[in-house]
Parts: sequence; C-alpha cells; structure tokens
Amino acid sequence: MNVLYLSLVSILLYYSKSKYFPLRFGDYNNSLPKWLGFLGFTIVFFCNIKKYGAVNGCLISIVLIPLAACIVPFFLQLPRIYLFLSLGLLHLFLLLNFIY
Amino acid sequence: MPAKKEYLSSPKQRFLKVSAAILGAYFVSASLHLMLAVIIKQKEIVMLTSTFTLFLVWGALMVITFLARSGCQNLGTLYFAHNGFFINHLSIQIMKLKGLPPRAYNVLFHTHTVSGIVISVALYIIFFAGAFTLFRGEFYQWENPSVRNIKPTEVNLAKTLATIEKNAPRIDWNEDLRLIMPTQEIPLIKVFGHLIPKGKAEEHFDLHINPTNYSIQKAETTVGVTLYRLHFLGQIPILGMYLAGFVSLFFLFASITGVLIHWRNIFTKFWSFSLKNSWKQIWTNAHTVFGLLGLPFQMMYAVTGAFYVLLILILLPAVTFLYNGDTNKVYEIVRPSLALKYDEKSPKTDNLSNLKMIFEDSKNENPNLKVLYINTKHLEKADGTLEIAYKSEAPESFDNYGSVGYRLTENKKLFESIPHKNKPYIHQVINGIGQLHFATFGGILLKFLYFLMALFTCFVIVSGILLWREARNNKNYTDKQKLFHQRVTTIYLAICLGLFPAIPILFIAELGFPIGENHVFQVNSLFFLSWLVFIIWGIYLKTDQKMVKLYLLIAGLCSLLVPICNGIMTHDWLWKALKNQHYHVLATDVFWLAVGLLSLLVYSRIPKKQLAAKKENEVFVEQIG
Repeated sequence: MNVLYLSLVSILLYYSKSKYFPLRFGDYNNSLPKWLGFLGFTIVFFCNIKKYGAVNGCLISIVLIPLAACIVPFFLQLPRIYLFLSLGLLHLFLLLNFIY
Repeated sequence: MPAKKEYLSSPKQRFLKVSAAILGAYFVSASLHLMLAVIIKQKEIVMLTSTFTLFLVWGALMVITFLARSGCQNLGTLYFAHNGFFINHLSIQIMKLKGLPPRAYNVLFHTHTVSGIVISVALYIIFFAGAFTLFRGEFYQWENPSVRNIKPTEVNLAKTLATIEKNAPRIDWNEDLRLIMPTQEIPLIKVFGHLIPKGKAEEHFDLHINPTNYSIQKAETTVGVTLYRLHFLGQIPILGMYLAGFVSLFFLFASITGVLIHWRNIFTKFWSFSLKNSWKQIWTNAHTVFGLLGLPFQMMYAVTGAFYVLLILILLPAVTFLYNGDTNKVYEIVRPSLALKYDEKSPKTDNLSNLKMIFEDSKNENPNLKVLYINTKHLEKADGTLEIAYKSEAPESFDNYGSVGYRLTENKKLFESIPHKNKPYIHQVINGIGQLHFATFGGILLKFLYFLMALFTCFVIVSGILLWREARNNKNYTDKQKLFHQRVTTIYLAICLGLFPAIPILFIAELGFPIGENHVFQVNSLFFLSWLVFIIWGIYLKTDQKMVKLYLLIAGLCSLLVPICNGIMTHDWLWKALKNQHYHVLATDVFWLAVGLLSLLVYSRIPKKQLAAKKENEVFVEQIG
C-alpha cells in the first residue's frame, strides 16, 4: 500500500505541473522540482525489487506506476465528494497497512 | 472525426486486405518462426518463444497489410519490396514524433475504429469478468460456507485413497487420477478421476475431501467458475473460447493501431483527461489517455490471452514442419508427463507403499516448495507413474512452478523441472505467461492492481464505444445513420453495463439457492436471465443517463444485499467473520458493501442538470425513432 501511495504522490508531482491540472486546484503552487517525482518512482522500484525480487519487483512497478498515472488525473477531475472520499479511503488503507 | 473516405478501400479490396491480415499475416508470422528455427537450429526454444512473439509479429503484420495500396500486393513478394520504402519512411516519421502521413493515418484510424467497435462488447465482458476472476480463490470460502472453518492441513495419502475408494467404488485406479492439495483459499482435497465405464464412453467423477476428518464435502458452488468461464466466453459451446482468442488477437491489433494514430500527441496530451469539455472531447481524452497509460497491461493481456486459446495455431505449424507431425515430441518438451508411455498388458502390482514413500521423499528433497497436486496413472500396474507438481511460495520468485515424475515400482525419476534448479527455458516461458496472465506472482497487492487496471480498461472500451457515436453525431451523417449509431451504442452499453448489477445477483443466488443437484444450473440461470432482463430494460430506456442510473441503482441495492444475504444464510455477519478470522469472507462482504454504497452515492449525485442537457439527445432519438 505504501508503494501505491508513493506512486500516487510522484505522479501528482508531475501532473500538478501540467496545463491540464484542474483549475480549482490552481492556487496550489507546486514549486517542487520535477526530479522529486522521478526520485519517488526510483524508490517505488527499489522497494518493490527489495520485497519481491528483481523480476517480480520490476513487473509490479510496471503495473503500479501506469495505474497511479490513471488514478491521479481521473480522481482529481471528479467532483469534490468523490475526490475526498477516495482520499479518505486511500489514507484508511494506508493506516491499516501500517497497523497490520 | 472518423477517417476520410477518400483514403479507404473498395469492398473488394477490403475483403482482400482483411483475409490477408488474418490468414496471410498468420502464415507469414508462422513461416518466419519456422525459418528462424531452421536457421539457428534451436527448434524447441524458437517454438516456445513463438508462444508470444508469433502473436506480436502477427499483429504488426496485420497493420502493415492494411497499409498496402492494393489487397493483391499482399499476396506477392512485391508487397514487401513495394512497402519497404513506405514502412521505412513511416518508422522515421513515427520516431520523430511527426505522426503518420495522411493516408496511413486515415487507414489505421479506420481499421482501429472498425476492429475496436466489433470486439468491444466481447472485450468488455472478458475484462470485467476477468477482473473478478482474479479473486476466484478468495471468493471460494464466501461461496462455500461449509469450508470456512476447515484449516488446510498436511494430506495423508493412504486415508485420502481409502476415502476415494469408499465414495467412488467404481474408480479406475489405472486411469489418470489427480489430487489437488488444500490451500488457504480452498482448504479441501480436490479429486478428479475416471470410473470403470459401463458402456464405451468415458466416465468421470470428482470429490471434495475435508483433510481434517476425511469426510466428503458438498462443494458444488459456482460463482468463481461462472465468472472464470465467462472470462473466456466459455458458456458459448465450442466457439466461445476461440471467439475470445480472436478477440484477444484483434485487441492486440487495435492497441498497436491506437498507439500509431495517437503517436504525435503522446506527450502533448499525456494528461489531457478532463470532464469539462464536450462529450466527444471527454470520451476522446478518456479513450486515448487511459488507453495509452494502460498499454503495457493491455498488450500483456492481449498476447497472453491469445496464447491460452489460440495455442493450437502456434503448435500446428511447429508440429507439422519441425517434428514431422509427431505430437509426442512436442508433449515431451512442453509437458513431459503427457509423453510417458504405458503398457496396457503390464502386470498388476500394489504401488501404495511406494507411492507414500516417494511422495514423502520428494517433499523432503524440495523443502522450500509446496505440493500443488499429484497425478497418478496405472497406479495398480507395474509401469505406474506419479507426477508431483510444486509451487514456490517465496515472494521474490517469479519462476514458481515445477514438477517431478517417478516410476512407482522402481522409485526412478522420469523427469524433473524444479525452479532455480533444473527447470528448462521452455517451462520457464510457459510458467511466465501463466504468472503474468493470472497475477499469481505478487500476492494480493498485484491482484488489486490488476483489478483496478482491468476496470480502467473497461472504461477505455466504453469510452471508445461512446466516442464512436459522438464522432458521428454531425451533419455529415443522415438521420438514419445517426439512429443506427445511437441504437448500436445503446445495445452495446446495455450489454456491457448490464453485467455490473448481474454480478452481485450471482453472489446472492449462490447462497440463496440450496446446495443440491441443480444448484449450479439454478444459480447460473438466475445470473444470465437477470443480465438479459437488465439488457432489455436498458435498451428500452434508450438514453445513456437513464440506463446508467438504473444500473447504478440495481447494482447498489444488490451489492448491499450480498453481505446481508451472507449474514442471514450463514450467520457469518461482518463482525463475526472478523472475530472468526474468516478474512476472505470479510473482504468479500466489505467489498460488496463498499460497491453498494458507492453505486448509490453516484446514483444520488447524478445531477438533474446533466439530464436536462442530454434531453436534446433523447428528443432526437424520439423524433427519428
């Protein structure tokens, strides 16, 4: 779950610099450099490889990062209620992941 | 906008090109692999590599076939000479991100649209059912309450065989007998064997044995199996599976052509998904953006899906030309146990003590592997064999499956293929394709990722259908044509989206109908009938919004009923499942609860304004319909 979270944050760093980033978040000024997103992906790859081995880790990352790239623009474009609901669920899963 | 007609072929040319794309490209792809096998003299390796490369080459050649100016060119060698320059020019254009020349763009756009719209419904069903099939094992305890309290334990072979003999007195011990070992998900010993036939026809039996007390469990449930079979259209007799295979192949073709036509905009429109534009723009962006992002996943499924169903198309030329028609040689390479020879006149022997001893020795020899199943043949004869299939449980291992074969009387190894020890490349390829397709290598995380990606793929398919209609909703089309597009889209959407509320009904039916002889038939009948009713109801409603609202409402209510039904029928309410550590049951209930609540939330939040905006569309349908 934590790798999914990190992938989502890394994708968000890229997406927030795009012209398609929703206007309602326009006041959010992302001054963070792009390489932080790349660093996030590198950590995701590293964590997956450490946990699942080289082949499995790379394959999981290949599914995980495109999925994160689908989830972020999809949910940020949805009405606020769905966005907040999904954010709540995501953090609930993350919390459960740390507890168990 | 749809492709410009001036670039498209005449009907005769189209027929030539389609036949060349399907048959010609297959023959060329197969011939290329056969030639490679002869040149590098590694026919086994080439044959097994072709299990995925043949489909990739086939798909790529199909694209090239449609780019030819004349269908006749595809039939001769001139085709390559003529198109060589063009393809070279095309690849330079693509590599420079310049996009395709107008003719190539329009031809590929058209073939992408046509192939996409033809396969869309079947592809949606395959992906949607497949998404749920990933959790088939996890659903098992939910659908089968009698096994929830059984803990998987070590199997006692002697007791298992005695139970089989007692419950299947007509068993033929000399035919194939398979014992599948209990797992966390399915904690039963599954037995599949042959009975001594009364007539000429073969007779089979299957049993489910409780490994704790060796009693027979009634386990005729069907949720997982129904969804699994639906995933490859298995309910359509004979044709269904092959249909699913060709859908996979054309999905590969549609993916390749989709990337080619979208190539120029890959970076500029990478994040362009937005809900603020016109419907046409929304569906265009949804289709291209999510289609591109999910491309590795979708290509993987297109190739592995085609492999499972159209394997015969790979093996046919290989067996015919590389092995002179000797199928046994291919079996020997792919599944050594299938190539073992047996003598029907072999004397009778009692192999039971040897069977137990070999089984225990083999397990001790492979302490890091878990036994998946054992297969025996000629168990009561001197040439009896035992095959033990293993699986590595190590999370970092991708190469997981292995097997060892023994001659029972001599305790002699006939073949061995153990991961990270002596497993040949050929077995690794087959193993890898299975791992990728069934998501069995990364635990529950990977299954969850696959599930979401499959749902995104369904979204891509539906957005493609809607895009097809919206792109044709302009002055260039007559009212009659527009009505046709509207009707086709409505029927397609009803079939695709109607499956959503039908799945929770399948779950409810599983626990609602009593276990008995007709249980599977009753459950499946209700599932397919309810799906049919939803389709007809959806078509009757005519507009997308009304249809979506109906399906959301029914799906929401039925999904909420799933955990309630489980609680009433088994008294395993959510809190009790948690207390009893029935985590698979709990996860299934929580999943349906969440789906139900989310569906009802979306249903309640569909704004009336949106409905008013779409009234225009409704009025149009009523006027011309």
